[in-house]
Amino acid sequence: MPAVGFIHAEDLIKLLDEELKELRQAGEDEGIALKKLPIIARTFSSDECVSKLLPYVKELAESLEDEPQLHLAEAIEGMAPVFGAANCSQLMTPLKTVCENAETVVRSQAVKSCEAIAKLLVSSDSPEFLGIFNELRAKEASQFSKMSACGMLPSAYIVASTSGKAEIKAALGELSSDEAPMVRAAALAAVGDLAAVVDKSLVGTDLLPVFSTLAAEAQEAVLENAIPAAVKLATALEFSDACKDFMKALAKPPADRSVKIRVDKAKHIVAMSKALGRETADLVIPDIVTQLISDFDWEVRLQISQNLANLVPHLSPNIATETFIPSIQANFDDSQVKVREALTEAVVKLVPQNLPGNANNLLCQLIDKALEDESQLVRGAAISGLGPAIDALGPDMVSSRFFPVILALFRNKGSQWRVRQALVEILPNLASSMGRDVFEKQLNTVVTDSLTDPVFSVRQASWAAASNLCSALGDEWAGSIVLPEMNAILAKETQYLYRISVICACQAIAKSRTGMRDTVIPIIAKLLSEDAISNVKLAAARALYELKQDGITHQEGQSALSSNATSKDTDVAYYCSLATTA
Amino acid sequence: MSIAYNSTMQLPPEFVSNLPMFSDVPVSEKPQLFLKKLKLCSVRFDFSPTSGFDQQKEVKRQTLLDLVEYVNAAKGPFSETVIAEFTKMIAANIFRPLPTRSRDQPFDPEEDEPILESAWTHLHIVYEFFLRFMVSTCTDAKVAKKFINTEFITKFLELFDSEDPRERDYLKTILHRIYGKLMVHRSFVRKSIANVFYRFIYETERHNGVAELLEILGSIINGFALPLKDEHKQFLKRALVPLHKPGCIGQYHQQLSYCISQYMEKDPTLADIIIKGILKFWPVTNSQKEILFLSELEELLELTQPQQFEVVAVPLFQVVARCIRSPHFQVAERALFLWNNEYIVQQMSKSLSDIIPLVYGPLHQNTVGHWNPTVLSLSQNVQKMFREIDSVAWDTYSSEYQALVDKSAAAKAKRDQVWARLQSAA
Repeated sequence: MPAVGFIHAEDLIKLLDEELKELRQAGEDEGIALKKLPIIARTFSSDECVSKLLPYVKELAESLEDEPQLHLAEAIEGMAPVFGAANCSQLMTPLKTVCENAETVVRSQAVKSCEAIAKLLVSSDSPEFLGIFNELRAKEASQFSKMSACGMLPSAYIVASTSGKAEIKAALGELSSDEAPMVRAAALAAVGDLAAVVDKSLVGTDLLPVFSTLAAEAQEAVLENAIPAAVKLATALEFSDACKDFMKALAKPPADRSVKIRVDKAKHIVAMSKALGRETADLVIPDIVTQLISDFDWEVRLQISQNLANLVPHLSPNIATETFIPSIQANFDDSQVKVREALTEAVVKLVPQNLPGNANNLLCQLIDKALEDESQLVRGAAISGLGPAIDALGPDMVSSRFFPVILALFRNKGSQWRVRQALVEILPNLASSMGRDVFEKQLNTVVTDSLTDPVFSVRQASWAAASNLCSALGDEWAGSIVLPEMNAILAKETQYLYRISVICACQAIAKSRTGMRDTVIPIIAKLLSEDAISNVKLAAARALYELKQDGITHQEGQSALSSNATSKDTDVAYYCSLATTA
Repeated sequence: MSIAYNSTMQLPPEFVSNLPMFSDVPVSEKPQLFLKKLKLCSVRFDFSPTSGFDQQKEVKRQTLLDLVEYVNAAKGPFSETVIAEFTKMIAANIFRPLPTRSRDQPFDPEEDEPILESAWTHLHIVYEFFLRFMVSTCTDAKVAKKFINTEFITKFLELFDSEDPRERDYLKTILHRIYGKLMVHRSFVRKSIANVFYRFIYETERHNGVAELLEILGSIINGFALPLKDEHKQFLKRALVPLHKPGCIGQYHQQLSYCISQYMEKDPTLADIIIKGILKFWPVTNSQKEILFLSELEELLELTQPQQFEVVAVPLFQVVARCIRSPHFQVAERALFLWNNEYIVQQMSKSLSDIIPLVYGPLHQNTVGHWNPTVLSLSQNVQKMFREIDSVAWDTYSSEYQALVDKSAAAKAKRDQVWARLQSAA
């Protein structure tokens, strides 16, 4: 009886094989065919998968080249649930061949597929799984096999029963003293991964000694995995005192040749500070930050800049004022835009932290500088961060010092759209902090002008801002400021995109403000019924449909939807009839 | 790692500025003076623009030159203390962080200027000193091997990633001397070079010193005794052949080809491993690399014995067939030029039944419609050549060809139908 109604499952294998041969001969990607393996597997029962499909998969694993082996490993990951917990360990045999591949990306996928299989075999002590693991890590195995074995350590630990776990830990010890540096590097990475699966009480006794030995190596290729592994160990140890010693050894001033080590140090500096504890971090971290922030690799500078603000709570308050701010000042003219943007974000995030001494004054000078930067990313970052800074600086200071510059940037419609977008996004924060009077004096027109901004992203930001401002400043404000402006746009603007912008703003307001629905929904309904442009009608129909999905209906909206359900425009008719029948 | 001193720092006590010249002291005091000068030269200076210490830098430079002269003129063996201090001085000077450029724009030696070492005024004398010390007959290998140990060699090899070609040149020469003199470390040097290659091939694909390392290996391989040890064959298979994988192969291809052809000459049975290995790394989208590979293949085929040629014929001509059909005219031309090589044509004639089915289709498609007239005419010439070698085999396949093409198209259409039905049933 054909398994799928029109073809026998075994014939599917033959078909796949033919297709693979053709693709191979033509030099094309065999992955297209290999992706069909899980589909074929689903036509078999779990036992038939082992008897009929598995021999073919084993044959494939031996014959395929590197890239097809990668696709095979992906297919095996997809087939594991179909084989089921009883039979999935059989897939380890073809996976072993893939684990021996020299290509890193192929082996990584093979290890990932082993993880998927391991999840089905928890604590089963599966001899097939553990047997393959032991073959891969055998002394005579190639370094690539051993690297795969290192990647499999957490999975093997999960599969092993309580009595078998000691053997897995012993395997870690052997792999960590292998003569090949790449195997030792993989073992060091595995220490970090194992920390997440072993019992917490064993992290300090079993994993830490292995880590300390590997982290003391002179070879850069091994050391490059030290910091990520250390952070994982510290997380497993809950940043207790046990972390101090090994973190201090790693955190010494960065004269490292390897860029990757310096990038990792910058990326994980917050976790490292946490693990060191405040006292030690105060002594060690400032020098590291000073060196990394002026590193000659831009990615190092970027990573440390992104982490500066988060570092402050883990150090004594004076450190930021005495060390970080002078370092930021010295490097604020970085040649890389992304670094300047990150430094600007750090500066605005430092303001609300109320640092001692003259800190806020110095930070404001840096914000002034950022607002004059040639890059709109930097200017946008300065504006976006001002919201939380207002409470620390006071609304008067913000409005007198920064607003003239920001408003001038906003008015310059020739460029700087990200700046306008950033300003529109922080309007609700400004409104909440500054109060209605100050807001109305300076920023009312920003709301209304942004609805008709030539750039879509700015208009889009204005819809959410209009809705949030209504919440912050009240329906009366919306009724007296926003609604007249929206009506004026509809009356005079010939640009249909701006009418769509009004529809979206009305939708956002209707969603959040019950009291405004009777005012804004009729605007949408009118546009649906009377606008000459199909795009506007479609936007109106969709807005009313989405409001109905949210349980918001209005009589005028409903009648507009009903009368347009048979519109000549198919898309308009579609949304209208969906909304009326829902 | 040693600190680089600038004018904001205080110099260590071993930097004594007023040491006499060797010619000004009696013979009995020279060894002691030598040690003091070594300690002085262990102080490394910062050469960035405002680092200062100009006078002290000049003192060190003169002292280094003194040391070089002393070693050149030395007669008796160097003591263990001297060799220990010498190694410390060398390590203090050369083991330092190499300048890195932004990884957004990796270094292209054909386009970019390399970052030259700012401390070269000192460094080149240090390297010269190291070299003279290694070649000197006064340096006892049994003593030196204790200090120029595996840790030293590991750090030394990491310096090959320097962008400064002058530095790499010195490193190459010195490593070659270390290999020659310290026989106990030879195996470690070979393994460490292999590890550098593995990291380069499979992890970083960036290294400035691969060509220099291959140059050293070329002369090492040249000296291998026959029969080749299994270790050397594994090195070929796992480290050398995979060097064909990275895209920047153009930077070291000449040196790599030399190493590979040395292996072929020493052991022709390795042709199978070498040629199949190159075919495995055949480029898919990099046409310049494809042309490089075709040239290398031709050179290797000239060294291949007939029995080995038969073994590799099928996979080889599967790839050659794809190159013949390449829309890149230079690739197609280069592949078709293989038929200008008499030796290769002669070898081909022994495996015609395997080769004709592989190349017939691409040649036919070229003659019917390749956009480049040269490729078109070369394809016609190759067809003519096949007819001259064996017209019966050629004509037989010719009559079967169209039927095979039609059959393959029909099978594909049927398969696509089945998958579509399966997908909708799923």
